[in-house]
Amino acid sequence: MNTSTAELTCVACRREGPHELVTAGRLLQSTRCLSCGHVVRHEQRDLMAAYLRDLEHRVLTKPGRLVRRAVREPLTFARELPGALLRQPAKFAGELSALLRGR
Amino acid sequence: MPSRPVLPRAGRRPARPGTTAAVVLAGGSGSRVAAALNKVYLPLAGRRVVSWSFSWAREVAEIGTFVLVVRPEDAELAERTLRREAAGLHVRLVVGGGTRHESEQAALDHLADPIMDGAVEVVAVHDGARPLAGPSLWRSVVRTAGAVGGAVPALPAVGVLTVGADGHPVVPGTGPGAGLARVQTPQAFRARELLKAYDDARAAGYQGTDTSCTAERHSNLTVQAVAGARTNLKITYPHDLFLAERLLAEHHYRLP
Repeated sequence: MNTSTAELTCVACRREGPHELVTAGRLLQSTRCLSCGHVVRHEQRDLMAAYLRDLEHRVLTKPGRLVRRAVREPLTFARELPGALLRQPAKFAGELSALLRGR
Repeated sequence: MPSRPVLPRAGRRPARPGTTAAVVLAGGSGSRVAAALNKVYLPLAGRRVVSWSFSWAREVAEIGTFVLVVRPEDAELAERTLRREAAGLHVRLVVGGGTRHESEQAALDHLADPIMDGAVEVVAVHDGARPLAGPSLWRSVVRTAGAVGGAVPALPAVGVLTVGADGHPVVPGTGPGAGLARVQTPQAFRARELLKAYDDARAAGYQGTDTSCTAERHSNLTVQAVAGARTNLKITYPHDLFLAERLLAEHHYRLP
């Protein structure tokens, strides 16, 4: 679960201002206007379906992305790969748990 | 700054492969809250919003030069983003100005030499907050600009009502509002004429709201509307991010 803040226009208060964005994996889960508190979120059932579709795409394209990175920055890739592999289970568990909690 | 001479036109022919420059604007208005991320760097389906534009533009054979116009404070983030998400593509980073017009001017100044020596024949300017302008739209504006001078994607302005001076609605299809259209980006123009138009605009102290405004006011270029795409949305509201994410997924992350 990642959060970031970006400047968007709120549909409720009509002001252009900072919004907090919450993402699960690479999917946007919800946004909250920091001026008026208006929240826009994925319907929970939609989000799970979208997450699973997206996860399938991530898994299928991962080998290609790994190869490209290895070719581009071989030393950095070799240094960071073990840590990245070890972090994957916790990362996916965290994403799923956040989705199920429906934050 | 002295104005540059406009060399004789190359004639009405499409742009040759590799002779178009794609300029993606990620400068913004400069009025943002300091802590908030520029929306063009928001994550969207696995990469930043702005990276999608380069993904689509690089599929167009005519495009051989890529420019990203950034705010000074975003330069490092832009560099990191491009290194990771536009690998193998040489994208020139240009620091833009406080307005869209000034950012366009900065990009054209950067491209002045290749434009004047003929390496860049067409310039296509795109708003980085529109991640869903697919390769076919880029191709369409670039080819049309090469053939006629300028091209802007447009959609019929459905739901727009023109009101006359007497306060009464004008009958649809008649009057000054008959040809109203919503304009999108990328907008493409013959490079030398566009460069000259921006030099003239600077000398006149003029700032256009988009590229076609300046081109139409300060050049003799013929600007033709090409069919825009309803999916070519501009990220403005939170809903736009959800919609863009869904549209990309439905197209299996490969836009036509």
